[in-house]
Amino acid sequence: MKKVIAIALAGAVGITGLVLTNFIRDDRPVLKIANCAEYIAGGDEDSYLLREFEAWYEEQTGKQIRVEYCIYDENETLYNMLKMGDHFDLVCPSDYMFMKLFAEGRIQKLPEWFFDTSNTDNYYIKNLSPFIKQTYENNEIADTPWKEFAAGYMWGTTGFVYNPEEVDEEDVQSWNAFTNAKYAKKITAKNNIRDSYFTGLAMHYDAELRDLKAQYEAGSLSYLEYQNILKQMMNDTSPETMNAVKTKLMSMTRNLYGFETDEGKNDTIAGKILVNYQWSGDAVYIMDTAEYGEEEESENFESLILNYAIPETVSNLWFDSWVITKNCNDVDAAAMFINFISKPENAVENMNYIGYTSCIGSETVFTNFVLDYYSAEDDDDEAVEYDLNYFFNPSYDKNNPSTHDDTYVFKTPADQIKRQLFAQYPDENTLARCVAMEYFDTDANSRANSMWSDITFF
Amino acid sequence: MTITKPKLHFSRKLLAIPYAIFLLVFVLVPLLIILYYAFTNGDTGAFTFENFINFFSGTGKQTFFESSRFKTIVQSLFISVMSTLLCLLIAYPVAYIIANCKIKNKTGLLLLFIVPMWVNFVLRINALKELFSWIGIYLKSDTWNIVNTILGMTYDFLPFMILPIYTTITKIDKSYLEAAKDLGATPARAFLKVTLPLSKAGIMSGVSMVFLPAMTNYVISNYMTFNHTKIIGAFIDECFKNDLWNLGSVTALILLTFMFIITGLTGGFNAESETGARGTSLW
Repeated sequence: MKKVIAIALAGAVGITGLVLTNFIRDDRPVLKIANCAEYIAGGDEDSYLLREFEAWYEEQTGKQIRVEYCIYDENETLYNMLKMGDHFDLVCPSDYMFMKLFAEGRIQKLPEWFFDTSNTDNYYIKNLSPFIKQTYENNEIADTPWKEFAAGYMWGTTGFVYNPEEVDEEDVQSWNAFTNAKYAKKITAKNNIRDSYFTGLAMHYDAELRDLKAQYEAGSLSYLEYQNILKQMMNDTSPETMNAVKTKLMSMTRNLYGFETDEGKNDTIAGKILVNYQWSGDAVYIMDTAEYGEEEESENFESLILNYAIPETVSNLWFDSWVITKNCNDVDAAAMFINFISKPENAVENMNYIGYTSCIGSETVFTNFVLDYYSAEDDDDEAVEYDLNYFFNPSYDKNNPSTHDDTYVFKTPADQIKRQLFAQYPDENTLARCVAMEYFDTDANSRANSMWSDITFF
Repeated sequence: MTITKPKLHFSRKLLAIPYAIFLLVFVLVPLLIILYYAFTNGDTGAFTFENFINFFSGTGKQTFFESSRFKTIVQSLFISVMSTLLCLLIAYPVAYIIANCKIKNKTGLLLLFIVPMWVNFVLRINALKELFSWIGIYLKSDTWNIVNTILGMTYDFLPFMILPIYTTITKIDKSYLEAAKDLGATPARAFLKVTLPLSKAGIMSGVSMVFLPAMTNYVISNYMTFNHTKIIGAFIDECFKNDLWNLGSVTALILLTFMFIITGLTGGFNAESETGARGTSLW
């Protein structure tokens, strides 16, 4: 017995040694990337896209490279890693976090050649959706537009995933669904300060927001004016507002099934939660799984049809972006990775795998993804028209009807305008009332944290 | 005749070196880091007591004793005490019966209680949650949430209580009990006067292995109550998540001090020397 153990141990040591030397021998330069878990086709560090990139990079530059891919669970974790001095070349935080990172000087601007549209290999700038492009020009931090340092990866909204058989559609058009006694102990909110603070603000400013929307629809406010007022309102962290928000959130907690991050998905699919406040990409996953089940689902699986709604007053628009860190070893390689991942066919692969919506808006994405998934059968009499000019038509200007291109209008099954298609590509009017969140400054952060401990102790 | 000592004398003390290194890297250094953040200012890194003052000064119009922070501490303490007591109540008889039963394969019997530990604890807690949901006590009311948390903690930490108690009981010299019997003690009296005092070291060890985790293991409370019941561990986690490292460190430090006091009061530091039972503590 002892001999066997000894031999086994020796073997294990030998193998470990071999593996180690293998690592040491690999002297290709390293590009270290950090991204959220399950956020690339083929699954994290083993993703085939990473290997394909290594080959493509060698083909383009004649140089070798090795991608080291790390995952984290949320923006705050990434922030703590960067703050502790972990080295990454390229990371993929959400809007409020890349703004904070830029303001603190932890990330740098994208190289100039990256924006050269004459270069056919600059897939990002050539295929970026006009909607994303405009948003990244309109939003800025420290007098720098987003587009100069952030390259969009995935984007989406937040809204309610609900069961239309038991939930009144009208109710989930309003943020007051959270305090609606009809859904007592059947509705969930997000278990983090940022998303819940936004929720509280939306409830606090309900009347003002309705008023603003009416003004915008009547034409007395332009799109940009409307967006700017919304942005200011939804990022208000003054002590008075925060107190009011706290009261709103306090009254909401009693009505909740609970605060959740990912735990709510299963209970929503199982029907225990009727209204689940959710990010659009996860909403797509929930709707898909509730309808079709997991692949290995048993025969007696009961299909559940769920819908997605974005409240009519305001909602959150978020963007996850690639940004290059300040101490990046090879800026060009990092930017080339962004280009590679932005190749339309790779964007489609990613969307198929993750369920979130890519910022890439080229013909290929429209044909191979949108039409492939969502166009109606020819004999579907109830099919409705859906217009995605805003996202795919590069020359589209909403004030100029002649720029409208019918290629980007297609027929889709009627239920899709409340379901996956709507979650992945909301219509233009809905997006007019969606704004991004900013980060809390130090003072607001500490106030928000103590507010949050009061709210979550119930 | 003189015995020449080898130059490199391998004493038993040398065996403690790996442990000392482990202690230094994984206990002492993190502790120093916590101390650093507890006593420095977040912006400038200057020495300050500000974080402690902040912790105890309450929020808004509330005093500290009205604040959610204080309530969270009280609630954690309650959950922790109850879980520890419940664990002890279940673990002692189990350990006693296993240690004293007549069958040969005691280890096999003990394994029945240890094997569940080999399954990932998040999985076990999830299963328990589903079970409670099926019975109908999951998310039933605030009181049930606390009860469910206590049950979850008890379920998860039970083996940590059984093992040390079992070890001490098996190590008790049977002749003590025989002597007690010869001198006319009833079995109950013999148990109270001999077995129980002699197994104190195991109890103390078990209590300290359950008490602290039950105050901080927020995964259990979060899973069992869908984030409804908040314990101090969850609060610390939130602080670090939201970039308030100083406040988080202060809370951790206060918890640590608190644990030291409790351990000191219960005599946990010298439990071993009192009974002389060696190697019974799992520390």
